[in-house]
Order: sequence, then structure tokens, then C-alpha cells
Amino acid sequence: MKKQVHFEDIEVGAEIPAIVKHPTPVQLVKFAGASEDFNPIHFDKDKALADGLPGTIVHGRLKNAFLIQLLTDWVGEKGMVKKIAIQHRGMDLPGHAIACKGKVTKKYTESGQNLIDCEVWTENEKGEKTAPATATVILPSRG
Amino acid sequence: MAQSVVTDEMKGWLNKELNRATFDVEKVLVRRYVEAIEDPNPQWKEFMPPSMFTAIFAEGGLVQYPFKTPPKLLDGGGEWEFVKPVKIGDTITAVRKIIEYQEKEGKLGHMLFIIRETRWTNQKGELVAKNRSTSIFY
Repeated sequence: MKKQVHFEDIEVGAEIPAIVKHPTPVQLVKFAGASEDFNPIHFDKDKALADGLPGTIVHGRLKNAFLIQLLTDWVGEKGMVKKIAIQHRGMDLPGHAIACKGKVTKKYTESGQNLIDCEVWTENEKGEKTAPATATVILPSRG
Repeated sequence: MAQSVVTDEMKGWLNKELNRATFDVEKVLVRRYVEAIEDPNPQWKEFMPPSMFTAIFAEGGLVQYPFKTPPKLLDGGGEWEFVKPVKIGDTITAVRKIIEYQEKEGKLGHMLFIIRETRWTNQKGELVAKNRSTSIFY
């Protein structure tokens, strides 16, 4: 069982424990089925090339899921992801690692909720942020 | 600037209910989803991972518009607010509308941005999540 993080433990500037994902063509097919996102650019290379893309690309929605997993892993069972805003800036290709990282930008209490604002992003192997995002999470207090 | 592709018919759909869909948050759907995203968190045996609002329960497949759009599509991202946890076994209803069109010239040529808003309620009528998303057509 993972240790629960608490509001009191977190300081502005703290890093969120990173996760690294390794999307493969098989994962994109599984995700297409599980998410019902059947845009062929995620599994049909000919169609992707014809659309002007460098090849099949990772679903933006799979990267959403990776970023939200980064947060749900971090906040634990007693925390909750409240908000996330994600921009799809760059394409990721299957066969290349995607690191999900983040850092705390603000810590405050509002309407009785202990809130943490953070920046999170997916990062490709060149260190480019392909899906930058801002998020707000609720953390439990040691109380 | 190329000619606008936003027709009067498209403008007529602004801020109207575009469509609604009801989903049962079934155990198998959730299991397949968490296997696909490779997220082994044990919480997802009881609760729906919130990212399902950004995927299957966002669209039930890709959004079908009641008008012709340029043929190619990219997902421009969006923002979500998760208001209440959703449990496996819940039923959620998504109601969607178009709130804005934007057009830009980019490296893919003339691009149409469709900005949509979706609100989800559960079987008790409680708001569980809301979203604004952008689809890019070119």
C-alpha cells in the first residue's frame, strides 16, 4: 500500500514523483478500443502519412490519461484530482518513452478544501513538453 | 486568409444542445480502459478513473457533428473539472454543446477549431464533471 501524502507535507516548488510510460502500437490499438477513439491516424500508418503526419501518433487522450495517472498516483486514495487543463502541443510517436512530470505552484485552502495547484506535462525523449497542463488537486490534512 | 468555412448552419448550432448520451459505467469497460492505459491503481476496482471523462465518456466515440467539417481531425486538448467521484455501476449522462468556432492558418493549412462544452450528471442528477475541449479540423 502506497503511503498517503498530506497537505502539510507539500511545499511550493516540490516535484511530483514522475512516471514514465512506453506507448507501443499495441497499446494504441487497445486504447482506441477502450476509449472508442477510432481516428485512424493512431493505427493506420498510410492514413497518418496521407494526413501529413510523421507516422501513427499517440492519442492525445492517452496522454491525458497518463497525466491524470501521474496525479492520481501522487494524491493517493484520500486525495482527489479536481481540475486539469491540457494542451496538445506536440505529437508523440509509439516506440518512444513519454515521461510525465510536475511541480507544485501554489498551496491554499478554499471553501474548506486543501488545494494544491501544479504544472504537469508530458516530456518526450528530447526533453520537449508535448502536452503541458495545469491542475488542481485536493489533499487530505493530517488533521 | 482563406475563406471562412463556418456556415450559417454551423452558427445556428452555437450554444444549443448538440447531443446527449447516457453511459453505464460497467466493470468490463473500466477494466479494459485501465488495462489499455496501463494504470494498475487498485482504486479503479471500485471507482472510475477520472481520465475516462477525457476519453470514452467524453464522446462515446468521436463527436459526430450535424454539419460537414473539413476531413482531417486533431485533438486540441481541453480542460476538465471533476466534481464528484463516479463509482462502477453508476449511470452518467453527457450533454454537449458547441460554444465557439475559431479559424487559423497554420502549418497544416486552414484550420477550423470547434470548442465544445460537456457536462455530465449521474443517475441522481448530480453534476459529476464538466469540460471544455477543442477539436481541430483541417
